[in-house]
Amino acid sequence: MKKKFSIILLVTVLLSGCWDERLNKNIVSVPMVAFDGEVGHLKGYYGLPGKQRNTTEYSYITVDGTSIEDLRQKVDLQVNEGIDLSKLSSILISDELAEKELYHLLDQYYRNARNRLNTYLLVTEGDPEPFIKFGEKMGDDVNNYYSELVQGFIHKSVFPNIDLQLACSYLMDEAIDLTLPYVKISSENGVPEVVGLALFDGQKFTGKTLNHVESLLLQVMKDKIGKYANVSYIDNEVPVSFRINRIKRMMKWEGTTITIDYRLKVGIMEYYENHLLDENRKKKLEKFIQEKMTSDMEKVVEILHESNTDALGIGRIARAFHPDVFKEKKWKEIYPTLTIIPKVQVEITDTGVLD
Amino acid sequence: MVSYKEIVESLENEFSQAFDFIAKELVWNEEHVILCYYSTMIDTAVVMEQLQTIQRKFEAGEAEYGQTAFSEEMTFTIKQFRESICNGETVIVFPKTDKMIRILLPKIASREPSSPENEYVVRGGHDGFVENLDVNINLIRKKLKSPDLKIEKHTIGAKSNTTVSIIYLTTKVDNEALKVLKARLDRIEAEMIYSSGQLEDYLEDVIWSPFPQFLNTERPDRAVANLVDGKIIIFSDSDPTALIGPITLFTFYESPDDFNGRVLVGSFYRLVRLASFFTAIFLPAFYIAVVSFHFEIMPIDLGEQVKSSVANIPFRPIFEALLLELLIELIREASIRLPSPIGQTIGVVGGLVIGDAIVAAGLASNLMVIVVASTALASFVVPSVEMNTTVRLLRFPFMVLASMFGFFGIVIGSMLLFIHLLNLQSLNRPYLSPIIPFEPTKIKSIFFRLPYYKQVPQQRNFYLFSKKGKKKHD
Amino acid sequence: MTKWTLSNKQLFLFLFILQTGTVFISVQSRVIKAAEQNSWLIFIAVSLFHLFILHIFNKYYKYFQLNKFEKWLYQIYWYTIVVTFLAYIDFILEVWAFPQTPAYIVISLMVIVSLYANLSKYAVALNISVILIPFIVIFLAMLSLATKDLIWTNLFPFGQIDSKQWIDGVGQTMYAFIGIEAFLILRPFVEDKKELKFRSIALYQLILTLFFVITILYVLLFFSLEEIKIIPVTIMYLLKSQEITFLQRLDLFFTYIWMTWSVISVVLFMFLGLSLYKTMYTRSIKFTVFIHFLVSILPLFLITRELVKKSHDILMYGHYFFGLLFPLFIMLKGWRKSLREKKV
Repeated sequence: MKKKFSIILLVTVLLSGCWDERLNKNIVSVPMVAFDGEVGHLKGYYGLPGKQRNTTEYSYITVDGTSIEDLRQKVDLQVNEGIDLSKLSSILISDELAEKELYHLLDQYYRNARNRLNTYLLVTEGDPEPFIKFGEKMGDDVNNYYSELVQGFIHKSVFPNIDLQLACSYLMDEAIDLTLPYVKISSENGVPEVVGLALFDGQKFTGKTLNHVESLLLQVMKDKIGKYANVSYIDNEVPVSFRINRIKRMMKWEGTTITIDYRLKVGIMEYYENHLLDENRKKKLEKFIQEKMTSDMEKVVEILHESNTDALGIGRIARAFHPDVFKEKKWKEIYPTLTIIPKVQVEITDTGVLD
Repeated sequence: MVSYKEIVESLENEFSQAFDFIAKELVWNEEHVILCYYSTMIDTAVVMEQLQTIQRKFEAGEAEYGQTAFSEEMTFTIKQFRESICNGETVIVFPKTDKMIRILLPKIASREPSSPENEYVVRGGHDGFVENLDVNINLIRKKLKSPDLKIEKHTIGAKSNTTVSIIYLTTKVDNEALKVLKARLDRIEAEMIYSSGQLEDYLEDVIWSPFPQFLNTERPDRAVANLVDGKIIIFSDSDPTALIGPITLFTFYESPDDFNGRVLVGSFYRLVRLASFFTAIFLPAFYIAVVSFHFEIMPIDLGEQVKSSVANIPFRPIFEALLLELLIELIREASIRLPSPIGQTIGVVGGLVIGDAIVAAGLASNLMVIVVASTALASFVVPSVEMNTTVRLLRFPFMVLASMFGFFGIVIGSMLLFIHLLNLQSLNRPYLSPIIPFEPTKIKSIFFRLPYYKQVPQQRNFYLFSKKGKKKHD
Repeated sequence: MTKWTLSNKQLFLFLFILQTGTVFISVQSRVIKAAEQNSWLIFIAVSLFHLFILHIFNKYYKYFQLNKFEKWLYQIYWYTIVVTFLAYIDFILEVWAFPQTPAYIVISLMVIVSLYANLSKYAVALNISVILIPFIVIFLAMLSLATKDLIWTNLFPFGQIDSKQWIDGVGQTMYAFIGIEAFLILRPFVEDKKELKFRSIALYQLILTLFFVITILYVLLFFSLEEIKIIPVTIMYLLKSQEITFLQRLDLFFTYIWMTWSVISVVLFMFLGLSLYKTMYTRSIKFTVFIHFLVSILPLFLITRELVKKSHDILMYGHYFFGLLFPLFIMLKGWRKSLREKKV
């Protein structure tokens, strides 16, 4: 009797089950979103790939709302199936919106356990709508278009590998500043095009950007290059291209003057004058690259100073090893007073199959 | 002193309905003797010869006239008489001296020891046990020529008089398990036992467990390998299946093929088999959980594929899965019952045609067909028929749990299963050994087929580094 | 009462699962919040202290004789731990995986596992932890995926520990050692009464410490301090941010590994309590069912963020008393009693 009773109880309890069921077929996954406007009056663009909705055509939805969650709910009103952001691969934010506070926009993504944290953030030049609209031309790549774009440039050492989680980490940490990929719509053919990096000062986009060459140099300066780091210069009308194989970085702190010594080992990829076994010629070439890079790096440092962006993470090093320089909650005021001098030494270790 | 009348009465009562029962009164040296046998169960020529020998001895007045190589002399009891007749022996009763002589030469129909069909191996012996105990013992002795091999006989079943024999190696056997087994055999109070399956029910530790606690095999090599491991073999008369115990879960995943092949190959396939254990139980449940609860674990491209495949299916994933599983079980049952050429046809028709049609009709998704089919394949990989059915049965509760709670249900279910396995014993020996009790050094033998003669190095001439080599060399 | 024994390895595995159990996903952020970069130093210090305690336990465990009242006291303590743990497990599951499923279902399913295990043979509770060994390896492998993202400068500056950090840090670290008194309960049953060497205890403590210190360091080096202050279950968040091409949401898998881990630690706590009960009364099945029923009801009143946190804070004091002071006191009592008996 007891047994029967307990079985009946169990069955009745379980029959009402499946509380958390969310059938895959009833959910539309959104691969990319874009935001514009300002907090309180946001404008959101949600890309909906055709396959997700059992149609062949890509479409996107534009909504107005007060907050990110509000936008999401409003999109839901326009879609017959449930909207799901757990597979978001990229978030695009217009430069105007980024100039306000970034964390406001991202909080919803951090807070919800279902969202993924490997989403890439991009800052767009002007209105982000054409970037989402471009989804129509992406074909089957629509799910990962922008994330693959970013990843490509991460391999090429132009972008730092910053995803949603790391962005949050940087935003929370005063001792390092965020740099995000900056993209624009090409004026020639209307295709999204990489410009470089958008520089942030704390929570806000400064409006200043690095072009892609400078961005690459920034990664070199951070000693965080991707798979390839290729640089091209012109030495007396002879083009020289090389890839940076190894970086050795040493920092010297003298009060507020920081000298950063870079020792680079590079491999020549293009140099039609050849004869690099010749010590003199090699030395000359090394010297040229050294000077060129040093001056370029100085330029980068200058831009970083202008925008008050501690993209190099000098603050983290200061906090760890130089407590006399670092003060909690004051780093943003200390950083502009620092002098950063990059110095480069180059050694050619590899010349390809030709000498 | 048994009265003549009593014997006749007894014969009338018990055997009157058997047309093949023959009782003849003979007169040897003026003494009345009765000759009884089943005409269907003796080899007339051989028995005749024995009979003549005994008669000659008797008439010559020898003291031990009943003792020849194939006969036995004993005091007459009705019980023994009955048993002997049923066993196909020829019995000569001497009512005057209260004696009887059994000629132990029954003729029992038996087929050739051919390769067992449900335990096929690629390499290795192709003989199998038959429905005759003597032949089976012969097969074992042929492989294991050891005086340690001991065979004990028990007779159970008040009506069927089934002989159950226990076979083990005295030097290797687990004595406590043997004691437990004998105690259980003695406890059996059944009228009729005629198959090893019924015997198994009496001998098992936990009868309601889905897991078999004896290994069933029809292969002598498998039986011998287990004998050497110290296991006990139980034969019931006239059944080709040997029950082997005590065993562990992992024994079911070992095949004679492992040791017939090479070390690496054997290890690889053993790993495949173990993986198939988990696949067969968890794959459909996992798929259901992912599709209906946790689709965010799929990368977006995969999710898209899954979605477009599932989108137009009118059922919930659990019903879709149950439908297909049921279909597969149907195909399996149908192809077993039919003669093998037709069985294969059924497999093809069921698998290909229905599988394709069911997808085309929109009743089940492509992916579900793949999942269910690969699960079925995985379950057939197990080299033991019982375990194979167990595994196929087990996946249903997991599917239901997964459809209600997603991964949470699977995890709770597998914990309950694990506790059940921990609780389980085979002849009072832990079922999950060597994982429980935990013996790290022995665990590798579950996953890998280790070299059989690891301790004996083949050549010692090239290098003399190894200690063993050196010792021998010196 | 049936006799049972266990081997050294089983004892240490039991202790390991008991001590890591539920707390090992929350202890990192608690310790780091309290002691920042010095957290791991403090952890090692506290761990050394517990090594000392374990050593004392091992030396004088024979004097640890509980009377009926003390036995009940310990049982209540352990059942309380189980209740808070269950509440916490459900809370985490609710946040990370099951927002809709009612708590009573989730909790009662977990309790059914414990009930089944505790109604089974002794061997089940003593051996069940073995299932976790592969999971420990998987967990560490998942964690190691984050190695490339660690920021070494986050480690510094360390070494200067002020008194506030000491007090808070030590307090929070205690979580990792809840359940240490189980050693005293199990020690008498260790097989053939062999001497348990100090070396093996030290090895055990080393492994436990390494396990925790590695997770603390990973968390410390992966997140910025500000971030840790708003993330309560940092390990989970860390795994969430890892990307594997064929699997998203590593954290979801980890949630279930952790849940298995926790449920087993619940089984072990219940086993400890019931084994004490069984020393007092011969019939235990009804009580086992009853206490499991109770344990599945009580957590339902605790499942809010504040209460879960508060009950965990109270556990710390429970550990001070039941894990450290009370056993020492009982052993002292037993020692004096044995002196008196010697004199007589």
